[in-house]
Amino acid sequence: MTEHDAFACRVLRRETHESRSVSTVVAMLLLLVVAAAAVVAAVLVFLDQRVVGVDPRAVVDAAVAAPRGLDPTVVVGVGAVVAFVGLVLLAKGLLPGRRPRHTMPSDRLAVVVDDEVLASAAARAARGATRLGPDAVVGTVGRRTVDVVLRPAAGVDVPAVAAKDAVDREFDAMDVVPAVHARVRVQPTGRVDG
Amino acid sequence: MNATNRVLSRVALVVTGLALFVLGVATVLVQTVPWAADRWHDAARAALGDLGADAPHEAAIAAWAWVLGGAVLLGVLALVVLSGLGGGRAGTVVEDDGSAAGLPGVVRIDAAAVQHALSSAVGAMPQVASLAVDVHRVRGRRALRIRVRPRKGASPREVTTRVEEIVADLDALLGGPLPVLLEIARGGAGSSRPDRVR
Repeated sequence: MTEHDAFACRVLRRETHESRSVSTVVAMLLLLVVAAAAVVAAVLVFLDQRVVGVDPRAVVDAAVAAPRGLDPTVVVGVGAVVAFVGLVLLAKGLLPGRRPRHTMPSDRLAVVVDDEVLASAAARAARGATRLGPDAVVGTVGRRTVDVVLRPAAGVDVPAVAAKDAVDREFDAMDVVPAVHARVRVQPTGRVDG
Repeated sequence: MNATNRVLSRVALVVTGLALFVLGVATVLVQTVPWAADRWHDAARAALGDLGADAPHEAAIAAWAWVLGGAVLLGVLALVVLSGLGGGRAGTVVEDDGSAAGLPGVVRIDAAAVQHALSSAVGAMPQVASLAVDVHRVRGRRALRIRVRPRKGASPREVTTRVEEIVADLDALLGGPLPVLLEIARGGAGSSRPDRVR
């Protein structure tokens, strides 16, 4: 593996996946708040003080005695919120977190392309083959598909095969990874303004 | 392209998420299911008894000291994870003191010089609406990131080919290849205007 390959491999993997830094910051701030609360509680016990009339030891006793003496709605509500936050963080950490991007092979560069850019290139290619107006062609790019929808004015015949060829040629030249499969559809309900 | 330690932050996320999830679900179960409440009483009396108000003074101090230590450790771990985020920008592209037998001194090429050179070269392309160039440290080496926002409908392959040529010129200028990431991104100023007919 050459140096270019090693660089491209690392950088492209990072650029096509989410960094999760926002959720990490949220999770760590939560932990810091919990840790600070525990420190304050311990110091209060050492000094034999109480804050707004609450002794940390009494709080522990109440928790040990649960569910006696606690309001079920509040406890279940708080528990559900905590579990939900945990589930969201867990999902953020475990899911692959792919970004809507493709990579393009190049001898010299590591190249990533936003899917939106690919979609607009596909729409432009189809437009060039069909002479439709800019609003009459819409492209969408998924991970392995590119969908081009042609919306000609009512009564106008569209060379859909030529459009598909043009889109295929465009994507053959780009050679994106993961490879995408082109589909061109003509929307049967024509427009009047065309 | 920054220097975030992604494995560390992912592990931290999973551990925190799992802990919060288990805690939340356990709270709900203890409150609603009598069997879970019984189990909780047995476990909590043994584990948390010394933290309560009825515990003897000596035992209470020892137990709360453990709480204090654990909390400080938890806070430090959280700060370690937070400090691993971001960073990795570099101000220089090349720093070279030449051959050992040569003249004493150092050649340093600032990031700004390369940024200006690339901006004027890449910005002159008709397909490009706006761009940004910055220098990062990747695996101990300097690497360039060129973020191009093309005009609507521009062909990414054309943009890549043109940038490859420009980067080849830059290699000749710097005397060696520099790792380059080209990011062709959506949006940005002027990208809604379609590419002009050429």
